[in-house]
Amino acid sequence: MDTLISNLSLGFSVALGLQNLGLAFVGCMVGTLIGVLPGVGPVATIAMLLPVTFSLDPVGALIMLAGIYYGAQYGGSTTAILVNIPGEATSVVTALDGHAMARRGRAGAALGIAAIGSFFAGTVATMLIAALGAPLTKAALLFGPTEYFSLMVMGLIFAVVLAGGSILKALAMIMLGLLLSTVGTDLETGDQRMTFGQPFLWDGIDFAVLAMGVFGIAEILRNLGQPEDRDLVRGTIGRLLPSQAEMRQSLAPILRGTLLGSAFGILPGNGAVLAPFASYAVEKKLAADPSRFGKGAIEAVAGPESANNAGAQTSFIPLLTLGIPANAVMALMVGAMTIQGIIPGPQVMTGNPSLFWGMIASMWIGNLMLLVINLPLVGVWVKLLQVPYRLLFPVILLFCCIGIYSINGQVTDVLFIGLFGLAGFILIRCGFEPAPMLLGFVLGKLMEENLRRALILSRGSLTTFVTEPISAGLLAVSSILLVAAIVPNIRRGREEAFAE
Amino acid sequence: MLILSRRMALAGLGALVACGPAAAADWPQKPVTVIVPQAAGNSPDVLCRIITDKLSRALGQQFVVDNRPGAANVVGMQSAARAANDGYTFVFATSAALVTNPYTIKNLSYDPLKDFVPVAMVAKSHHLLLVNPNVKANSLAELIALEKEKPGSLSVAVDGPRNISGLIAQAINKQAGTKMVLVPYNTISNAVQDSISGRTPVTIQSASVVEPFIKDGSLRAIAVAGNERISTHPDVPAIAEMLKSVELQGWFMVMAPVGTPADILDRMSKAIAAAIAEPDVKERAPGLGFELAKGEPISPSGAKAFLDAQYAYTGTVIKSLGIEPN
Repeated sequence: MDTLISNLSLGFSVALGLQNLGLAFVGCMVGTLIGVLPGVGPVATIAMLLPVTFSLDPVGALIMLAGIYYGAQYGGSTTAILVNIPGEATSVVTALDGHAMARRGRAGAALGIAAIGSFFAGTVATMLIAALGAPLTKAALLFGPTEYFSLMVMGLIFAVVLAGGSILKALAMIMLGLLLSTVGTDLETGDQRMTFGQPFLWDGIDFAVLAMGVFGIAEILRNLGQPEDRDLVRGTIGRLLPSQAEMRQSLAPILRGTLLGSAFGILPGNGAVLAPFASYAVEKKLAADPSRFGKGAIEAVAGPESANNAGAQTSFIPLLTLGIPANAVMALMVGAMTIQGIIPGPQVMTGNPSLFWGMIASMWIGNLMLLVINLPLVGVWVKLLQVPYRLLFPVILLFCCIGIYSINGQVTDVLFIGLFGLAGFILIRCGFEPAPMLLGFVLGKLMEENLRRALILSRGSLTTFVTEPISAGLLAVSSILLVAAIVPNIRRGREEAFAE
Repeated sequence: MLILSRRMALAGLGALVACGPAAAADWPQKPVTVIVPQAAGNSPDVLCRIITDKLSRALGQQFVVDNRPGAANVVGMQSAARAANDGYTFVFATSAALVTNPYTIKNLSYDPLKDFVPVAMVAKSHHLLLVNPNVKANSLAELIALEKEKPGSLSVAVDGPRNISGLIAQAINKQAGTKMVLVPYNTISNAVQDSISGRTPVTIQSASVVEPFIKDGSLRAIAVAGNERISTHPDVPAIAEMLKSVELQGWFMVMAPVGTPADILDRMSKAIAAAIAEPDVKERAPGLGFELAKGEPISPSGAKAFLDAQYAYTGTVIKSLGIEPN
């Protein structure tokens, strides 16, 4: 305990230095502003701003990059809530009820609870990293291909729960997502699958392209289809911050979300992506009236947003203690550290304690800054909704195109958001929800890779999934969840059939 | 073919321009783009940024790194091949883009030898053959013996069947007669993690990535890919010391679109030579897993000789492994 306090005080003495404090602020600010642009998620933001950090000292550079990361994550949630465009897999869930709240005139409350939930989750996760970072690392090593596959199976079950309407339609959308995820180069043989000889498809479909299309563009098309809707959104703004009742309602979801997010974030191999989905599923299961979900339930914003931020934070654990980046952003951080002459890994903590603890302390400071930056901004963002749609839509479209082009510099990506937008619009019109498809898409890649690796390692034996204890446990939980999700539906289906 | 003929036409045009008043004397007049066919933060990007930083200072114009990742370097190489050959676009090409892709990808949209001219070899990037500490083998010979006791029992984590570490693993299997099973990972970190935990007892990784794990004893290096030992691990033998025909290794070379004036190529290669001779670059490179080029290869002609030799050699290896382009 004493060492923890002395370590933290070392960290804060570094992070509270004038320069580092300024860099954290600049990082959070820039991250928030760029993250708000549709389609520009943390990865693109950090990649673009990476060169700026070269001239800084290592601690300052990393503090600023980390700030950009949280900032962009937060800014991405703002876009998801206001215009229904998730820039990252993790903000898909926020878009569901967050945007529904915005449509009901509660955008301010949604943004406010997202900021408060994120801050709380960030604080807890920072303490967790400081106290348990090193021992928790060992837990991450328990997860291999077999365990990841089973974890992803569990994730797919969340996708079923996510769906508001028909289970059958949700399953169909998950399958579609899985199919889309198989486009690209085969990992094991190097063959091209469904790429039609086009190099831009070799690496598969970009998540941002798909999400921006089926959420963002489709949302614009849908709004254009029903003009009466828009007065509804613009008419009532409501109070800017969540009411006391809403805060009370959100308290437990924030706690649960923080817990789930912290746990998933520790897993390398992008486990954090599951956290908001898991939180949503849990909240929906626990809710007294699950039918409110999808129509703007504040718990469905508070829980997943907290889970998202906690996961974002704890995904630093594998990076800082093992040198293993958990996701694309962390991989960029490794690049930034390498350029600065620091090779990430276990010895950073002992060999460069001021960097290690300085970064941890700056995480908390960064979270505090985000709260300070964002709460006053809520009013500004909400005002954006009052901009007439004839002005707002072209601007959103323009930013979508610029944003998506800035990620890979490919014109085909811009064309594809249009294509996916049209497809998404048709799907919404036919009563299919895009969220389960996106989760299927995200999990599909990870599932396939890990399934094949697990089978190579077991030399083709399927029993590996039930003989490995962690994997068996995850599969057991999945089957229970699946039964719990489907049985009420079947029963309801039968009752409806009888009623006729 | 269409691209090729257009490239030829441009080449002719470029030659004409080069005959005009000395282009190099007032080059560079505006910022120069260096395309990196890999994502920001990846190993070639890190090296390229170190070098371009020096070039910007030395030549008085900004050298801008343009990351164009995707499709196994093809996206970046293709855009470089189509760029103007006026001396304001270069590409920081990887060995994968220059000598592996032509033998593994059908209808490759660029020709490494015809669409580009070499400017300078920059560095070799070392790959290490590593084992989990629980594996009872302290050398490649012992590892091969261990594998032969129970053929097919050892798994080796690689980056893919057509990528450098996968090719090295297959070449070892072929020459030594072993049956190590390749487990493909498209993210290095997952591969390293599974080797640390012992699921894939063997792995072949870029030296820069695994250095910290060697230091803290979670992985043990038993061989270096290629035919030379490296300064950071002088006691680790090279693979080719035991298996003569396994000399595959990664490297980086600056190239320009064909037809770029020869005197500009010359100035650029001299500037690169000066950049990699700077003490701080020399000091940092080994720690990052790079061995900087020396002497002749850091010139257009020397780089061409190196490229031609590697092109032929890699082709022989890949064909001998029975890999067809697809």
